[in-house]
Amino acid sequence: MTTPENPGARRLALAVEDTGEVRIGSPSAAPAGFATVPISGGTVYVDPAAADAPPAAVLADVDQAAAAIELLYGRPAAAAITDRADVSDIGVVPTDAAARITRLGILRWLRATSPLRLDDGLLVFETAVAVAGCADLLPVEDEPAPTLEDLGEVIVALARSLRGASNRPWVPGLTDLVEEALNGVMQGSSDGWLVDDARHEAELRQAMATWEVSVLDWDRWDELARSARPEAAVHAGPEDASRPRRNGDRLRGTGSVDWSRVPVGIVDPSEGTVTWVAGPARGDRLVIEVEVRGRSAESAHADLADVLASSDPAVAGLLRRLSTSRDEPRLMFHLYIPGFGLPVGAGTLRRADHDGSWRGAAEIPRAATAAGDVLVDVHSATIQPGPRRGASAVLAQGNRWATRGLALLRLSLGAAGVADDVRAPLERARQLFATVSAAPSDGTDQPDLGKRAAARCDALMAAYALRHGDSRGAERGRARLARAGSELPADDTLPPDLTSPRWMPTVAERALMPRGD
Amino acid sequence: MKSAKVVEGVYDDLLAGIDVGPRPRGGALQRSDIIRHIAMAVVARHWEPRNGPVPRRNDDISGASRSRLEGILAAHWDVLASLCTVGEKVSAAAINRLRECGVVITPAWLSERVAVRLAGAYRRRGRAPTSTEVDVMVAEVVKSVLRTAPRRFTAEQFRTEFGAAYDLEWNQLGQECLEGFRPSSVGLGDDARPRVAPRPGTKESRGGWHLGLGRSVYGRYRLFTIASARSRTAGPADTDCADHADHERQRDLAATGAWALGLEEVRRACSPYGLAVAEHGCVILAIGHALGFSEDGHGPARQSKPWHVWSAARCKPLAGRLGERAATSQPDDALVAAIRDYTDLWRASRAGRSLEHQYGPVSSHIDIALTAVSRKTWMELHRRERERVEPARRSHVARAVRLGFGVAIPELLQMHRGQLASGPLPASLPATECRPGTERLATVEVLLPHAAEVAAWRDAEREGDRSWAAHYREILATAAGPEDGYLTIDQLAGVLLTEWSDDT
Repeated sequence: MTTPENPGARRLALAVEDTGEVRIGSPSAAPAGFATVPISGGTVYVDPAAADAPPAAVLADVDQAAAAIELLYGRPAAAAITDRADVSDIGVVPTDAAARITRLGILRWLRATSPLRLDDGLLVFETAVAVAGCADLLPVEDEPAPTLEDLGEVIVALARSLRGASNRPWVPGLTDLVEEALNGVMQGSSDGWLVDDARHEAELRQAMATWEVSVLDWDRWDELARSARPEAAVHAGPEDASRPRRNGDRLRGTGSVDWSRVPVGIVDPSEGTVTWVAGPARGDRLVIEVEVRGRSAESAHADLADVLASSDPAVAGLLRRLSTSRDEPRLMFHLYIPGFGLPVGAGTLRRADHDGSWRGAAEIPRAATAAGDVLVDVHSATIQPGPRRGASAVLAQGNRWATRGLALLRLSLGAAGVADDVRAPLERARQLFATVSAAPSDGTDQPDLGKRAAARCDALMAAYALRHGDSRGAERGRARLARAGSELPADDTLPPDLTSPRWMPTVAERALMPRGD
Repeated sequence: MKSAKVVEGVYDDLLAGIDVGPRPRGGALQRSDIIRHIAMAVVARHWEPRNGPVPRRNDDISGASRSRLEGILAAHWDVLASLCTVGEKVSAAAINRLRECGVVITPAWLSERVAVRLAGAYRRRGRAPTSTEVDVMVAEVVKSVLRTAPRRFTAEQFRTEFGAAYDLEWNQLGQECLEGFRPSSVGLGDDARPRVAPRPGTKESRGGWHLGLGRSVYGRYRLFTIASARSRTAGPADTDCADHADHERQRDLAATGAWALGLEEVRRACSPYGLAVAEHGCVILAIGHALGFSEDGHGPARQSKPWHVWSAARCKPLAGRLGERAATSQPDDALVAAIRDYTDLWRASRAGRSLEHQYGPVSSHIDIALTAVSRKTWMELHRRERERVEPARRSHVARAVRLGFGVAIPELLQMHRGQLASGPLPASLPATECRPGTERLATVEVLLPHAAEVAAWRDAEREGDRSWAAHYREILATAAGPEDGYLTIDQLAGVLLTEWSDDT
């Protein structure tokens, strides 16, 4: 909650876990999930649905983390963690470091979660800039994503392409990003040639800005810009799983992919994309054929690598290598039935060349279909089988809808035209979370989580309505929050401040927005 | 009257350009170093004694004092900017000089060294350093780095110098160690001989703990010379150990020399799990026992809660015995039980529950969990061997395990989802092979009518209780198929632990 003496300040609890870890704030009720960012000695949890709030942190090594905590939360927090004692509220002030790490967290969240078809190259590039900007907070050796040094040649090539384009950039914010990247290369790279190139580009950019010289081939950029379009509606996925049904003798049904069980970007992120059908019986066995709707590899519009390919194919190739998966992902499925914890069948999914769908088949005991339903657990071969069921599955589905809603809400902050799409997925998420919260207590924290996540959806919708001048919507949201408020932590019922700079869409997101000219 | 604020915060506001003109661009200097050292030196130099002592970094400051401080900084903004410019020059020159010495370092790692010297010079003389003074400063900075960072071979030099020694050592010891202590069984990487150095013309990703034993021998040697791979703090607070000073004694790397360090790394790469100290290998083995599933399918038994007991004896040396093979080695049972216990504690913590809400139960990601904890701990133990004379003790391992759970697992889960499969990659994760098999189908068929009992078997197996096996035998005795047509008890136990999905 905010503090009366300083509207920007927040109070967070500090707790020592049984593991010995020290926790600042709570990472638990993020309706659209959270991103983790490792810092020296711990992990920061960024909730993208509360971008303007201070992130939570869990510290495994307090001594090592102390410097980063002071930068992130201020001196009182740093002093408190060294005492290793529970404190109900520590005042934390908004800091530049918290804004920087939130930015990085949102980029990581987009990379790992967003259902939008973001430009991988742009996202990797923007993440590298954000990582360099957090050098005083991160354990440098641990950074898995490509760094500015890895991307050095890409940055110099991009700067060369964009020279003089500062007044009409292809993607809003790209020019600033390149400038920041050049500075980062100059400061952080150990490669002398690269530093010289970056310095040269930075100087040229400075000079051209001073002399107001522009030399870019605008036709090329305009062509690329025209091909960009918001794809939110395409990937929000309106369908829900339907119940199994019989078509003649053949039992069939549909289901959804649990996003947490497959790498992002290889299957269609909509709901209801898994179909299964039972083949004819062979004695005591049945064959279940499974199909998962894929996601085509081709992007709907030109991306950063395409832009660079025309002038420097080698650099474009480098960017593609750094921003896409090296290995073909391997997917499997396991089949489960109601009332039985073990899988009744399993198979490998293979990608069909013609439409990118994933297909496979598995034999199961005929008796397993007595209940008439089959749950298909689609998962990466690198994780164990075992789908979420019951309340956990509903929470996961709510999380997917909230993610879709949040992805659209973020786009709406930069461009008009997607406003109508935002409420529906958030409302769907709220309903799903509310279902879990209304269920009788089962000894887990799921009902509580459902209640809190539902309130957070209401808070997002209220903030969105407020932002777009929809007073009735804002009032409705506030009324719901007031009803839920007394039982919930204050932060859960606080509509986020969408005007905060921390809510500004990333450059990768802005690339999806319609241009305003 | 201006409200109270900590001195450092006032500097921070000013440097953000809130109250005064353009912010001096630090370039190579980090903002925190500009504040803590250079800006404070400027204020100290111009602070009038009649106004009391110079405000210290953590003092609360308000009213006239705050105005004075802001006034000094505003009046000497150009001085601050010029000192930052000099700092950038010093940093660039030192980096070049160090590169000539074979030490590669980034400006961020020199920032504080440069800022401290600039601040000291300004406090003494009240002006920016002359070019001669800058040269002296560069020499001092270079010397201070070389004191802790040895010169280093390039990848090609390393291959030339150590290729033959590595072949010899590998044939004598390394191959046998690889077969006896399979990295894949403890999540450290593939069961393959590490490259001596990256292929000519290719660049090995820096990476961190993610690489595990996928790092070349040269890559491991290189950790000696990478500033970011060194300990940033003195280590856990175990100064109350009676022999703390001896135990934490640092190795004199500069005196050891690059050639000896290269040879040391070759030998280490040919040791069990790529670690030279037997106790350290035992720690990795214990992690494998605690989080992995042994080949007979038997999972970790649940015992009482021993993590706190084990980790509380912080000064105690590590235990366990490393035999010729993992199978004949004996990890410290107390550590195995402690790590299993820690797994439960971590899952019950707020962060663990949040991660499970987001990614599903950790049992679904057991390979990721094993990989994360094992590789993060390996990195900490390897660092220990590089930097200290004595082996790690319980306090260090407890810290490494906490980092493994608290930092590495969330990171690897996110990487897995986000397909961060480029740049410094995690070495390949083990993949589950799909082997449905006729025995599994037959077993499912006979167990379907016993769903409730099977759920109870699963709970018992999680607690290390195999009494369910008798019931399973009874069911099989009445089944129609051949005796060997069903999963064995061990195989079924493995399936119960790794593929179960609660229907709630």
